[in-house]
Amino acid sequence: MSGEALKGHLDLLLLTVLSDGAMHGYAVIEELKERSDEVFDLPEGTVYPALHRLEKAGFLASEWSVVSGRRRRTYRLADKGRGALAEQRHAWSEFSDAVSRVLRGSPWPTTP
Amino acid sequence: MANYALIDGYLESMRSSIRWRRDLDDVIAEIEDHLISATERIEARGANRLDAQRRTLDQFGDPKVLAVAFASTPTGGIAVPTTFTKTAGSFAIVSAVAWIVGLVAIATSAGLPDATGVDPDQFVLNGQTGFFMMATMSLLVAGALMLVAMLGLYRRHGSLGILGIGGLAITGLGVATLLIAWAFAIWMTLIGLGVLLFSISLLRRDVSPRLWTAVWGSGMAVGAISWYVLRWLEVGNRDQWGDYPLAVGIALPIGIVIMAIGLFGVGRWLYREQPVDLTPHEPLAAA
Repeated sequence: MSGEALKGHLDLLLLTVLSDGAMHGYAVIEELKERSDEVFDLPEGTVYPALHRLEKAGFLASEWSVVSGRRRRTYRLADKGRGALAEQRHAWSEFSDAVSRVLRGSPWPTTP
Repeated sequence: MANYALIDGYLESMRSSIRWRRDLDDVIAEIEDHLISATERIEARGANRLDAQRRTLDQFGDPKVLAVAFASTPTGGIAVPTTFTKTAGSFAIVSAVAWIVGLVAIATSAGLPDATGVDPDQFVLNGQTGFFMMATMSLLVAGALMLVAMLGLYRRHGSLGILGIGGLAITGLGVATLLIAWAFAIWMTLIGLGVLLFSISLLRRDVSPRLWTAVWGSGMAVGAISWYVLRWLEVGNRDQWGDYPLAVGIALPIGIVIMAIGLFGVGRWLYREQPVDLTPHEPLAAA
């Protein structure tokens, strides 16, 4: 899936991945790829601005540690993010169900 | 990181692309951790380090493209150079030149009554010479351009708080009083105070070059204080308006020249920055 197509859903996907536990940026991206069977393919660097934006909005919190001599930033879902995720999941579910119903539906009968 | 030459080069390029971020070191540290982690993982699958770095960097993205993405992140009081701030920088440079032109015009017009025998009272009150008009116009243009430059600096720093807004407002008032070009004390005091407050707010954000900002910020304030001190000391002869021309003759060049030098330096910095086009993208909260 192209970066453009993914862009509108990236925040929801990131919150979902982080709802399973704290992760650093690289792990988040790898998890995103793995769960989507490599379908979600976008420049990895673009995920960081999204993570920062979500942290600024209060949905995520982060802390620094030192691993193998390198500084590492780990993100976790904040309470506000948990609430937003539940809300967005519900909205997405409603939306995707509606789209599915439309796609499955019979064509409008045409007059002979 | 001697073993990661490609990543080192990439990080330098990235640092340059997003140098306007206040949390630059944190962002670079985070990217470095990602790139090395990814390289190590690819190496573990059998690739050599050079190839692993190439694949990692290819997947991470072009630094210039990422700079745009980082510019849309309102994190940590980001201050972003834009086309507007670049234009404001050029305005600051022109303003600095206009201040000097105005000063020269004032000095020239002030000397004309003596040189021509014109009644100084009539000369000043009616503004009868081209030099006097030129001085007034130059100072007004200089002041107006400086205000635009200050708006650019405000944007460049994200926000400057009440100190910045107050400084901008007082400077605006001072620029308005430039219409009365000979009311030196009033506009020197207002502009001196306004620019001083504004520059303090800039220095507190630590984004603009500190030396040029300090020189610009202190220039007119030093000039105004010099005028008050020289007047208090009653330096030189007192004229028919109760003023001390020598005090003005010393204080005004001090204020304008120092301010113009600093403004030129700040403007050059603002102008030279590479603008980053913004592509705002709001998080879920704003959706």
